[in-house]
Amino acid sequence: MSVSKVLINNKINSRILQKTIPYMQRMFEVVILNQDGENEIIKALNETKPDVLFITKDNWSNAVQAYRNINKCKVVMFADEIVNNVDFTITNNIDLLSTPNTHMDLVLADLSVMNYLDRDVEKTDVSLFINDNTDIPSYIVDFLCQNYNVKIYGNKKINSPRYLGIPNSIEKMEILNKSKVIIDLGTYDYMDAILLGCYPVVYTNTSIPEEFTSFDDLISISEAMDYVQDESNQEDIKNKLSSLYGHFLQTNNYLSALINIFNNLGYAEQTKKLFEIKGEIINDRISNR
Amino acid sequence: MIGFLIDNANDAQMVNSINQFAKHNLCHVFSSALTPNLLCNTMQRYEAFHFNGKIITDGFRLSQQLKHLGYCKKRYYYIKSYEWMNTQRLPYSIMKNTLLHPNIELIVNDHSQVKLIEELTNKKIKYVMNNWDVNVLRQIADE
Repeated sequence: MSVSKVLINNKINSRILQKTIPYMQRMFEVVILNQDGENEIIKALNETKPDVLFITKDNWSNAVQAYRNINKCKVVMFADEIVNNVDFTITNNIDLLSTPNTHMDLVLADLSVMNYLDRDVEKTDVSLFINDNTDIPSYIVDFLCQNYNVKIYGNKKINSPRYLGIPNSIEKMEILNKSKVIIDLGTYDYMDAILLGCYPVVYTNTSIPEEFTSFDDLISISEAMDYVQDESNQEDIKNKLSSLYGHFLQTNNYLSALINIFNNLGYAEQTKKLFEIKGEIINDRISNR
Repeated sequence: MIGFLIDNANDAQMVNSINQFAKHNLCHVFSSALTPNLLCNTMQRYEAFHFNGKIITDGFRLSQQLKHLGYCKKRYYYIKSYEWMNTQRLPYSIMKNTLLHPNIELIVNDHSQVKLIEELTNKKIKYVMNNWDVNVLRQIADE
């Protein structure tokens, strides 16, 4: 069983789809559907004859179900519940976390970030990104500005000379490349940072793996800053970073999630090909390390 | 030879220093405003593109022009205040092309600014020049 064509409803607001379409395009024809009315979907199904269909629950009409039954097409649905006869579900519903054939649409590492890795840049900075939706007490940012050598970026303006403006996505990679530490205030930048060799200090009050350094108040942030700036801890930090790097390279990334989806759908050939793509990325990184 | 890229001549201390400096040194002022109280060669701002000496500006907006002045021997941004804090929306690219640009050297107004600016820019401060100190201007001219 193999795939030659995939039809994707472009209205699906899913992280994994946004990040993995380029990988899929390397293996088979990907048709993107920009209008998701019932008639448009039926027309697209008849014209493209896809082997795999990515749709929302709203698209699950009788006609689509009939097409699926007649043509043995696999259906991946973006939904908050398990729907009968759907082969795989991508969901935001945390209650479905351990349900088989389901992918939680969480933020994962994007391996394509590693294309921006620049080993010639000296890592010196402690950087902090802050966005309008960053939910963090402002006194923590003020405390960092007044007491530590940090550089602040992001679309939430901070009233400090240490605020250096709003970077675009390429500039953000430049910043991460020259940063030895990044303070993640809930922007999920820690994953990109790890893949670019920058150690994350994360704002959270929940339990996270011990390789991370976390904080949730002024005392813990000052302890965290002292820890990452102490020269005697640099070897320890390097080991932790290496462990985190391996973790995100091997499992917690969008490409691995896509492999899981195609494996669950029973497409052995595509799964193998995706493993090869992942292997190329990893080998490329290892040879450059 | 020093060029001064300025907005206007409203800063009395700057005018005084430039006039003093101009008594014994060659200098030019580039400004879009009328500057009758400046007793040296004054030209339109765009003429700075042909200038081949050392050029200084103390305006954050004007400092964005510095990297485009292809004939200048040296380009200095004189940081009197942290003007980038006053912008409504600050793209990082502007900071990259001014304060952080490798070809733009930095002068600060006061020793208290040195640590912060050096930390922010990863560059060494070239001069500390208090209120357009004419002695520092002479040092810049002589270097």
